[in-house]
Amino acid sequence: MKRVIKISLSCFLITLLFIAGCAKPPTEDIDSAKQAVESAKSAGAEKYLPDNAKGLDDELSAALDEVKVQDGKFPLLRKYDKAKEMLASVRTNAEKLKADTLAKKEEAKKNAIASLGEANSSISNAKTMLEKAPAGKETKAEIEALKGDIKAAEDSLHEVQKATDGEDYSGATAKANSIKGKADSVSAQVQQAIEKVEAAKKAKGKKKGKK
Amino acid sequence: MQNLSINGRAIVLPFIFIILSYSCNSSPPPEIKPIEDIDRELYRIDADKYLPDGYLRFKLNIKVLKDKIIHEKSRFSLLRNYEEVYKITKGIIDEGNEVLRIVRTKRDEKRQMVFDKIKSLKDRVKIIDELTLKINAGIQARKRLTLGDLAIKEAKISLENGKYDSALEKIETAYTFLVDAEKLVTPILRRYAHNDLIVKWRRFVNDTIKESGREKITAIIVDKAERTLTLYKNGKIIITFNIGLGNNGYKDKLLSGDGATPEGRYHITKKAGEGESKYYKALLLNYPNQDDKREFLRAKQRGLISKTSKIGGLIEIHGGGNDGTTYGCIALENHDMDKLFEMVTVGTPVTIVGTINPNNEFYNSLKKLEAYLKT
Repeated sequence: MKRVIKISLSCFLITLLFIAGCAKPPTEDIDSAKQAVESAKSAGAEKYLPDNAKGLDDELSAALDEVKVQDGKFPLLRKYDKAKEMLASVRTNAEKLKADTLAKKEEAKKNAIASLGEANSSISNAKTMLEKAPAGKETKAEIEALKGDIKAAEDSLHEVQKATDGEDYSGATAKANSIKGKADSVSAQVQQAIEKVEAAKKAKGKKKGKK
Repeated sequence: MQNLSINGRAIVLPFIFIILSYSCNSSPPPEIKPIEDIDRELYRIDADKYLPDGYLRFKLNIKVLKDKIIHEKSRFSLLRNYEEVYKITKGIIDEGNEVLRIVRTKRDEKRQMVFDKIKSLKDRVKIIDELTLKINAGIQARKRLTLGDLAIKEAKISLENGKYDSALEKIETAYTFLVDAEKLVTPILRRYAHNDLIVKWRRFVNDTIKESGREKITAIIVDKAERTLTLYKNGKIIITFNIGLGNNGYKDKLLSGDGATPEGRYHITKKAGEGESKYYKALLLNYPNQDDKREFLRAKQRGLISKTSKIGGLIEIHGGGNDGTTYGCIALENHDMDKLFEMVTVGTPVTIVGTINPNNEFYNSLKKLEAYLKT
């Protein structure tokens, strides 16, 4: 009977040791999850997808909390399966976030380049309008002033390129859009001046006709 | 048999304990998702910038809560007690909501402040724009005005994207450019609000009109602020023409190349008919007169102008259109020039003044700008 008891006890101890031996903290999983999160952040996740980056941080934090829960348990009762799953999910989501960030960054770059193109086009349009603007009295001084404005706006275009080169795509887009806005408003003012002069000519023609 | 029973219990009890530890469900930990939602929202709206201490305290309390949950979760199921954790959770949710409320209020205030500043700067741009057009301000003033305007547009974009700090930076840039533009414009305007100058100009005008009456001659009065040239005969107004001035025409001429139109008492020294002038017909004036020469030398002695500067000359009343593109001369429409040319002779007095009206439009513009700056 004693032999039976000894064997049972031995089996129990071996089982416990086996369980305890298997439940080691998932250090490698933690490191690789952290690395994946850092990699996503380095790609600019916090700038381009800040909400997702924060969500990922929270997810990592929850996974690490789960590891801490298990760490705090009686060694024989530790189970890191859930923590490993969570860390694996963090890794997957971090990789996705990195890819999404790079796509978003590329999109922002394309937007900045497109905005620069539009600003250039608006400047050219305004310059063409200014060339054919009526340089009559009452308008000439204004036209000269508007030419100066367009020159200043055109000179600012290099700042858009500078911001694009420095990967400040949102800044570049904002600059380009403001230049475009200025150029379009100059075109509109020139158009108004043209209409004003044409209306004056028509009125003059009618007056002559009456005589 | 009794020994066997004791030994048997010794074997079975740990198994039962382990099974119970795994299978028994104590009360579950509190749901912390509402806290995480608040935290996420606070992060999104930059709580660390608006209420750094409150946000930090909230974050620390979350950490304390999480540590307590971890601690309880780490215990054997039968020993877990989340009673205190529930209380803390409720407290942190309340705290988070309060931080959220304060941050949102502060953020709204900042947005309104940025909005107001942009609106105010837009008004300022409008005033300076009108002024630069009125006084034909040079390219430097227009350039600064445009750069200021561009910065305001960028600030507006930042405001729309909720980037208030970035908007404030742009506002600061815009402000600098607009102040520079004003610095170029206001000294010109101030002369038209200067009482002593206006008194002097009035005296010039009155003396010229009296001379015209006394000597039974024609005389010309040029009023820059009104942009008019008035011809007097025997002290009475005969005709008034609109005139054009150059980019710096509203300044008093000091030296060659400044583009300014001189102010003072002159007379016609030469009449250049059609073909003799680049600008249809011209009436050459005796600029610089003695006063101009004295002012020029004084400015040189005081170091206000370069030692190599020259005083300039060839100031005329000419044709070519009154659209404001001269380099210090006074321009008339050709048909007006024809009329004037016939009515004047060499020696006709020509008095050029800034204004004789203390309530002139430049004075009013300056007051408008100053009133705006006060607000």
